[in-house]
Amino acid sequence: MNNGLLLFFGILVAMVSSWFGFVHSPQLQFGKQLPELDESTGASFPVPRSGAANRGRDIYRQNGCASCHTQQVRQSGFSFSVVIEDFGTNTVQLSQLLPSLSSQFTPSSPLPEETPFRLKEGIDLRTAEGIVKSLTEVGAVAMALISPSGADIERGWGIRRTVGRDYLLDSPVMLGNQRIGPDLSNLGNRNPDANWHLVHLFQPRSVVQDSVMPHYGYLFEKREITGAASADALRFNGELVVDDEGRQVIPRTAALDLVAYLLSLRLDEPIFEAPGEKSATVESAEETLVSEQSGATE
Amino acid sequence: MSESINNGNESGAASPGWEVEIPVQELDRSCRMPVLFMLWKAAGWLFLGSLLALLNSVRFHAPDLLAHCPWLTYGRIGPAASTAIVYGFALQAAFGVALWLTVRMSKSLLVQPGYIALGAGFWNIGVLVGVVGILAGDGTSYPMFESPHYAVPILFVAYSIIAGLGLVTFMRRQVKDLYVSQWFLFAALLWFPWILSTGSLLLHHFPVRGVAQVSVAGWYATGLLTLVLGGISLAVIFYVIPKVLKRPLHSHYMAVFAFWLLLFFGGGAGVLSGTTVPAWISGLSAVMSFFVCFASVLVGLNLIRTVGADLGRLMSPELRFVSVASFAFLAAGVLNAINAYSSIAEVTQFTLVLPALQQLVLGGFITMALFAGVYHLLPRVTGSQAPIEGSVNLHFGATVLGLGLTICVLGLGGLIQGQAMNDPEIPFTAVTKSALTFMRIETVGSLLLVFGSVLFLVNVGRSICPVLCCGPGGLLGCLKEDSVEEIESAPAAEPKAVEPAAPQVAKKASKKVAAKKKVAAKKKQAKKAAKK
Ligand code: HEC
Repeated sequence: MNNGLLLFFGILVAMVSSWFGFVHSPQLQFGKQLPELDESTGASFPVPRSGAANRGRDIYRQNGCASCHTQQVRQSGFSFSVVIEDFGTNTVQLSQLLPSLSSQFTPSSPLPEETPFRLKEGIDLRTAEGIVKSLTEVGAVAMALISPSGADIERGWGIRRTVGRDYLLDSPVMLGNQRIGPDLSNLGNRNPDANWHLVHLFQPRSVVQDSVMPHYGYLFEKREITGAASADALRFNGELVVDDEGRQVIPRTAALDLVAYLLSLRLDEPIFEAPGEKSATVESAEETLVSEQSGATE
Repeated sequence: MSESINNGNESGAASPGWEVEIPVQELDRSCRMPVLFMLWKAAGWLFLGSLLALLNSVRFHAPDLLAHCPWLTYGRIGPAASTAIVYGFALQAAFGVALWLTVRMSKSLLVQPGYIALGAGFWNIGVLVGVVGILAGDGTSYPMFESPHYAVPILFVAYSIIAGLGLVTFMRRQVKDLYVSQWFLFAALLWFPWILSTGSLLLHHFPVRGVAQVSVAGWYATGLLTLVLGGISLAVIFYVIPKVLKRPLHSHYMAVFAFWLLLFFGGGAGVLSGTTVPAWISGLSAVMSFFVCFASVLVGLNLIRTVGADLGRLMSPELRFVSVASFAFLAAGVLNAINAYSSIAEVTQFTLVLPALQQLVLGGFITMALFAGVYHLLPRVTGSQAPIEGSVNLHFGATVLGLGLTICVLGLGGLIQGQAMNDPEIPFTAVTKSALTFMRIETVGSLLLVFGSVLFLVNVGRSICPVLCCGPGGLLGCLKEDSVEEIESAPAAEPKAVEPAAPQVAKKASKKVAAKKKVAAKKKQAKKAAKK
């Protein structure tokens, strides 16, 4: 084919079709998506960030934190666990049964004091159902729970995988694609200590030995100590944090905003598309597994 | 318009065959000024970008290196380096090479070279504004589209001038048959403004919501690498191999089929995998990667058949850059398709495998193909000697070694890192540590690449200097007829003086060319005689 015009139209068709696929369709899917409203509590999801946290997101972008940190959590499947809610009255039979179910128990060990008690974790659905059945037979109230599983979730990076809705209120969306540092999706939950974060930003190696994260000293103001140290000066474990020249260190607004943003990162709410832990019957769990496999929850 | 096709006719009216044909020297000369300007600037950006990349690599040995300065923090240097390399070097060199290829294959003089040089100047301003903006903290955080919103319009205007005049040149072509390289060039030149304007509008000015941003940014980056830069690189490969071997491409139809496959599927392959973007996007993207892989294999086969019994020449000075580029293209196509497979992606996602694959495409395929194009056109466009061979050898060696080391080390490190990351028993600090060893070895690769970029700068500078600044064909001189002819009749230029334009036209035009050669030889003899 040597016709320039035909070539031109061919290219045009390719450009338009790829545009529809990767620009228009996602926009159709997300463009009108609204935060989910919980009718009973009036809370909306995702939770809007505070003003400081929103400014902090900008600091996060400016300094390219996303080049070392992701904010997306994966899930490889589901696991099941068994929780005993009530031990019932037939404690003798129960104490005989428990050692056969879990190695935590010997025939002589007493029943745990607190309920609900998590008996087994990370098992498959059939085993869980079997255990629940045998527990019910001796009069205890037990149930199987289904929960998302995967290395990310076991590391405490979230109770479920992240989904599109989690990022509805953010612009730009900084998912990141390198995990030189840990994922931060659930940071606010894992480590809610604002002061630790300030100290860590000022000098990561002062709190995490051998960290390769760069220090962000420029987010702090250094001031000579004249008389008593300022009330705003950075302290760690009660001791004043000082820079190389012995000056006190006062977080600038940018540092405080950034930490507000970091603490606003939470992945602890179940959501329709990706439920967290919930009780499972054989039917409901199988439904979840099937729909998850076909990607229908998206 | 001072330089029109008629001009060419006048000077070549000596024999019947010349009436429509413009001598290649004149074609080359028409694009001399803008193309050399772009290549020189591109080489400079490559050096700067490699240097910044080295700085970030060294930081895995000394995390606090220059960390006190916000402009030089890790998260800004990375995007600045990639912007300098992708926009300053790769795109600019690609435009330069594309213009020359267009002129050569359409056999029409470059339209308005002065305005094109002006456009190139704008382009460099745009890249500079982008890089400085990123360092100042205005980067966008979208990979490959990091320039701040205010830099993009400058790039767009600059591009419109360069590509617009390039397209006019293409429309005025004297050869109606289109060679497959022209197809790739045409597609690349149309695709770029399309993604650039979409990206700018939907990410900067009217940002789409949530994860749709990720999809748009991924689509932009993939299109930029696979179709724009990849397209121009393939054009170079398809041009240089048949040209150097003096034989037509094995199969025109295979090349055309690969072209359409790449065009329809390349723009979406590998947009993003991950659980966060809707499953259908990653699924679609994975399927497309498979088709791209198929196209890569087709291209590879076609090239191998073209080379035929001359396999030994693949590493000859004229072909080695193109050979490495073709191999990297094939490897990238296959590896990306493997990487799109979900059980593999589970391990490689978020690891160093990603930068390794990107380096394979951007460094191994695109950069090497552009080097090939530049070294091929330099002696022809400057009309003087080729760059010193030893220096080119060294450049080739340093670059290939640097790329090979970077890609292997990061790839291997990424696999180990990914395995560790998927094992929740291993604490995350240990995961980082497992990758750190490899990132530290990678510094050697970055160092070699900086060394290579210096050599490239020297080689390009040495060829260009006599033309652009000093010597008889200097910046002003090249517009004057007589001074140029002096260069052309210099002995060094002689072997390259007359060539068939596009490889596929070679067969048909061979008679004409033979006639031309005689005429040109006679002319030169006459001139020399006259001088004596
Ligand atoms: C060079 C890569 C790199 C960059 C850039 C980087 N980090 Fe880190 N980050 C790390 C590494 C490695 C760790 C793990 C070691 C540690 O805690 O210091 C880490 C840990 C963290 C932690 C603690 C996480 C946890 O689970 O305890 C936080 C919070 C953090 N980074 C925030 C940031 C912020 C905010 C920025 C941008 C201002 C940033 N990081 C930039 C590499 C980086």
